[in-house]
Amino acid sequence: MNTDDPLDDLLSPKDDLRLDAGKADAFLRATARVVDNRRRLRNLRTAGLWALFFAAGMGAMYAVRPTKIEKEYVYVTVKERAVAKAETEAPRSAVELERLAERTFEKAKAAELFRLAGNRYYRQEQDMDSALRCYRFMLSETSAATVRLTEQDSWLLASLVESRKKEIAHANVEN
Amino acid sequence: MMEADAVIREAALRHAVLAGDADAWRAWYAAVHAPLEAYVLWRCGRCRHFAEDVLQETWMVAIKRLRDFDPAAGRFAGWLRGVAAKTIANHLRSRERRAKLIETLKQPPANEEPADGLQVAETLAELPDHYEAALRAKYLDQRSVNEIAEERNESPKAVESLLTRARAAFREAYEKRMEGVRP
Repeated sequence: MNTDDPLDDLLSPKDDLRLDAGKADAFLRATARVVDNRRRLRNLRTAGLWALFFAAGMGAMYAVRPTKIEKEYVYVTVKERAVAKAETEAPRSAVELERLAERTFEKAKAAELFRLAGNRYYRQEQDMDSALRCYRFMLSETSAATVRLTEQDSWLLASLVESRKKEIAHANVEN
Repeated sequence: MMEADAVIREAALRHAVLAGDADAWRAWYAAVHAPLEAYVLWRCGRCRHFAEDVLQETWMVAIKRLRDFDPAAGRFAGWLRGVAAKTIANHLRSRERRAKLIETLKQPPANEEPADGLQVAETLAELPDHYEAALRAKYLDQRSVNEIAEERNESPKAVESLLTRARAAFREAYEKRMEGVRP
């Protein structure tokens, strides 16, 4: 600014008056370092925060863990029940029992098997003819006098046994 | 660039730099360093050493206090000028720094560097802000009276009057200082 007033010269900037370019670069480097440090600090803070959350979680788990395990005794009442021998054996059908009886040579055992087969025909399959057949075979294997009737036995067997006992008694009288 | 675009751009740059983006900072620095350097040199009465110290401190303060910069309140260059003005005032106020500065200025001045630079700097520092702003617009930014009036939303006559008062205030304060310096 070219005027006569020396004030204008005093206040006007000089175009060729500049600082060294190296200074500007140095200021930039120094300030960029602060920005870089800020980024590192930010990353570190984030990582620290995650670590804090993790530690807090672990601490909470530690705090709520059970300190003492108490044993609780539970008493169970065991009720004993008598189990019939026939129930402990593998369940068999009337047909199987009858066939087993036919293959058994021991008379008493064969009679028992025919008896069981007859009961099953009678109670489970309501097959009167087969039941009657088995009871007859049973009485052929054993004497009616030795037969002890139980609750499991049917009225059919009972009447057959009674009838056979009467026949035996009658024969004895005649002789 | 529209004013709104400038605000958005500077808000984005501020956010990026605060997040640690050094590239964003380099771009921002490159855009505002030259005008800031010109301002600091002008405010320091064209004393290189003084201006270098002020610039260095201004940049360090600016990067550390960037969170205080509000893009909606004004441009980054203006905020930096404010930081620089405070830095200059602090330098001139501090006896220790002032003594160091006088020692520095005893060295032979470089080309275009005035011998009375410190007095110019001190005079500008003691002027009221609106006088300093008016003188800056006229001498540093080389704006015409009409341009200054438009920017300040005032009449050209009011600006002429303001400039006259600012120049008179500067002259009076400067001459008083020079009387104290001259043997």
